[in-house]
Amino acid sequence: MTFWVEHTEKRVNTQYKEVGLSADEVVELASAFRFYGYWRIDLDTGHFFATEDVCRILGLEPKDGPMNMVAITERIHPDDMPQLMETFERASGERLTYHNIYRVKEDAEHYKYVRSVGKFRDKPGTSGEVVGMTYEFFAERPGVTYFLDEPDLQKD
Amino acid sequence: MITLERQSILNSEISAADSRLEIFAALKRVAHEFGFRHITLFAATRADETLLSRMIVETTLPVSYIQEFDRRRLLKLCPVASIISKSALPYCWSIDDPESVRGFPIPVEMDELQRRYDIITSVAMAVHSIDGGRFMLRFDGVRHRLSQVELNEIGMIALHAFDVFDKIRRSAKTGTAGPLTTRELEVVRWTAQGKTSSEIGRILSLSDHTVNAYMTNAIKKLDCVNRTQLVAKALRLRLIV
Repeated sequence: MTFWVEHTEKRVNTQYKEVGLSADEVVELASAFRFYGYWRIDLDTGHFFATEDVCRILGLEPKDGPMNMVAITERIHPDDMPQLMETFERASGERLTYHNIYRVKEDAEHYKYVRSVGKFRDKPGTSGEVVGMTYEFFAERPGVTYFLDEPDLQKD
Repeated sequence: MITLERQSILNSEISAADSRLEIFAALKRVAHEFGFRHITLFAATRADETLLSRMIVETTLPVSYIQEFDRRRLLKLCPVASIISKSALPYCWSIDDPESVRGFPIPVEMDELQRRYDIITSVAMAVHSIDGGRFMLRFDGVRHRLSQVELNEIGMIALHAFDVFDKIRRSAKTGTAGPLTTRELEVVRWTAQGKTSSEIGRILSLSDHTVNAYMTNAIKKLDCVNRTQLVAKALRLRLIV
């Protein structure tokens, strides 16, 4: 299921400032404990560029330059792939923000759930681009707490 | 059952198959008739592939075996693909054979895993689709090495089965090719794989201008407004795979 929000009606959320968080800290918290990657699609070339965590989520080797969309679609559940492609089609033609949830192959037999949020963005001198982020859901049980060490934390 | 009689019966079953399910069922019967437990059809997708699971088109191998094979990253250690790709003839080997007979070493961890799953003797052969796709058929199980007569027989049967499989595969592809020409599909496929117009031009021996013209035609035919829409739509409609 894909949800769409008109670009102009998008809710602006700056609540993180109210508790003194920086934008970097927001990203740090959101991406802790899971793969959390970013991507963009160049509308003029049709090329998809993704960061390392997106590749890891998809089970593909990270590489410089455009990703192989055929290889990506092979990693997505066959029932979800058409919907995801339809999302790209619509997002590349309309100024909308969207999110969708789909299944990505985890191994030969299992799929994991993944969420992508994307939006159309102007890019001067071009037709624009669709940019977004993708992250995987927790597989762990609720009620279990995990801790990360912070070896680089400066002590007073 | 004498050899010719067996070959004749199996070939009849293979000829009668008109779906992937049926041709694979016929291949399972071939494996059984030759005393093998498993049959696998692999697609040689990329030279730098690291996971076996991504190459499998159909298999009867246990999922747990494939998972462990991939978890231990054994594909990059596996010597079989490079040996098979050098010949069109079926190749038979057993991990029980000394290396001097088998002709190649088998990594210790692969040997241990195969023994645990009773994959002792194998036959594999490279097969090629007429549209350029490269595949490999492999039979595995516990039996003595095949005689030359058996190897010739299984080779011919496997070739026949792959030919039927390939016709089914190609007709499924052309049945959904839509309005795009072969050249337009090629150009869209390379774009989806991340190639630029000039790279596609070099691959297909066309000028950039011609590549762009094919892309523009494809965009119009599929009622799209840009290349991103075109690639996404072509993938959604499974015009390119």
